[in-house]
Amino acid sequence: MSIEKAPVHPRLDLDEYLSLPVRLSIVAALAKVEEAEFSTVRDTIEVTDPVLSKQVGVLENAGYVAAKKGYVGKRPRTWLSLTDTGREALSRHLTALHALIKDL
Amino acid sequence: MNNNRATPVDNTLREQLLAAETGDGVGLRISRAAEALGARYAILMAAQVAAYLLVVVYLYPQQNTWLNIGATAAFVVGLVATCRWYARSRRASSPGWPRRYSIAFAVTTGLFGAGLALLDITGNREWWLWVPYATVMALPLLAAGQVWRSK
Repeated sequence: MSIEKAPVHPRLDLDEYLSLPVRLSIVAALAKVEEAEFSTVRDTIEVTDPVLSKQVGVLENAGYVAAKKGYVGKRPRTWLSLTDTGREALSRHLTALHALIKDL
Repeated sequence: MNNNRATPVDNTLREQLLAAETGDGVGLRISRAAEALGARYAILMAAQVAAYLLVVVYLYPQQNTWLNIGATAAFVVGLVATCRWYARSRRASSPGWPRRYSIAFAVTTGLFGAGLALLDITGNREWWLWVPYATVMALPLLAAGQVWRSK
């Protein structure tokens, strides 16, 4: 006898790392670029350095964002990019979000 | 990882959707600015490589050591200055830009090399050959920079 698997409720597809709006904004912004400089993301998302730094750290540990440090002349620059894992997580999260909102 | 067992409340979901839309719009703005800068960079590089080819064909600096050194130095300084300007100004790259630019630059450089070989073999300096050739040689870079406009 086989037991049919119940359909997964969309809320279970919500990603815990992306449930914070600021993290979702960061990941959604990075999804549109190959890479972007830290200060550009900070200014356009309108957050402070420590906030972005902290959230990028969380997303980096989750494997969603990659941070690469470099120099242009003597100026240090940090480049942020979305990983494939991050791209998949964003897509899954947005699909679940739309499904949940549609049900409301 | 999905540990969200409780259904989030309506406001939280809408707030998240708004955050995603904001991020999406911001990303698009950053990407367009990066494409515009990349297009200017590609045009400058294409113009310099095409100009250098025409200098080599028409001034033929190889016959004069100092003219050769001067023309080559001016070309290299121009390329380096353009690269440095771009590196300093760049704040982001649009999706696919590094690969698109690298391929275009490789094709243009290959055509430049083929042009020098053709000049060496034929010795032909007719404008009807070299002006169109320089234009065709610059096309890959120009196209790489203009792709964004069609999106």
